[in-house]
Amino acid sequence: MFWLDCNIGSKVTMKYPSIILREPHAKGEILSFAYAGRGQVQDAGGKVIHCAPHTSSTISSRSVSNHGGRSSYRGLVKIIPGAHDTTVSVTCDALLLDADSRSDTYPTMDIAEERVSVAHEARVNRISEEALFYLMSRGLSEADALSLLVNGFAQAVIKKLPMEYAIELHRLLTLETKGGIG
Amino acid sequence: MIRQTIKTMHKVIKRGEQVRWVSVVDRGWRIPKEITVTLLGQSGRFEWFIFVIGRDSATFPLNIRVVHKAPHTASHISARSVLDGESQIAWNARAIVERGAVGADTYLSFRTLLLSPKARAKTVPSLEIATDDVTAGHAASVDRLSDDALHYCATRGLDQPETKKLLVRAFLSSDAPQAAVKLLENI
Repeated sequence: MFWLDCNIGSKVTMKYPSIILREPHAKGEILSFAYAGRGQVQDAGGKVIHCAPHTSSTISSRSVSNHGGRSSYRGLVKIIPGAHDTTVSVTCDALLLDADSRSDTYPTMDIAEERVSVAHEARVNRISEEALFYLMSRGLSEADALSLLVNGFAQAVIKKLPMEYAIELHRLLTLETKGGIG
Repeated sequence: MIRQTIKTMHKVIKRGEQVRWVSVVDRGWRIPKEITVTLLGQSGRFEWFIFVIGRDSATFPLNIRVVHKAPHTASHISARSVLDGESQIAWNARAIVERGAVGADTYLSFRTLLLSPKARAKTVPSLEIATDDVTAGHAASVDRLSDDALHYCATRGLDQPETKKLLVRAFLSSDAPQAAVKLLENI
């Protein structure tokens, strides 16, 4: 089962696509993207519950906070007794575009089975000054360079979207980073 | 400073102060312990290495809160636990970087090795970041002893209890400070 979750609108979003893996050899994947602009709170994430052996899941979350927006990742990985030989990987990356924005990460791992492999990592960063300088030294304006880097950050999600949604998300990120909205 | 117990406490790190704790615990407790560390002074640094060896039905409930209030502060918490029998860990850690704490560096790492089917690990390493000029991250993993490593040692003539002891020590010592390595050798 595959969830592709994109959160770009609404003042407050609290949405956690979930997967319950009930049968052996089941696989689940959650790919989540959130953009929190001015006055927005994007509280997103994903839950995976492993109820059977030989199951695997991947949660990949990317979020961007800009103009004082707040994005949060709230996730759950639960492995019940008997769900042996389970593999889970969770990665969360957050990008803060200004000093007023905020990013939170609340991952919960509840493991009740010995023969499993669970890994989680998260990073919170801002736009690399070196990358920005590099692009500007090649003739791009600061706004264009920022837009390029933010779109690159979201690329993992954009390339999985149907074309109409991919174009919309790409345009929204471009407008937001160039100051066209709000 | 090496401790063999963990106590509820609130530590304030002042300007330029560097604090390192090493905790090696093998006796559990029932009531959650609350550790709060506040980095109040600029360029303060806090490091905490936690090693937990759980046996029988020991439980280790722990709530950790690290708050960065000043600029250019750093906090690194690295916890490694080995759980056997019916032992359990329930850790909630929260690293908070407040708005004025520019240049803060925070990292939480929770690694758990489960040695028995009834051992249980519940970890929640959280981040709350309110400024963009920060380096923040966390990592958590739960795993078991590698079958390949067990087989490799068996082919070299080592019996399983001895192999398990070696692998557990290697897991615990891999990023341990020198002072803790000596304590861990006796486990």
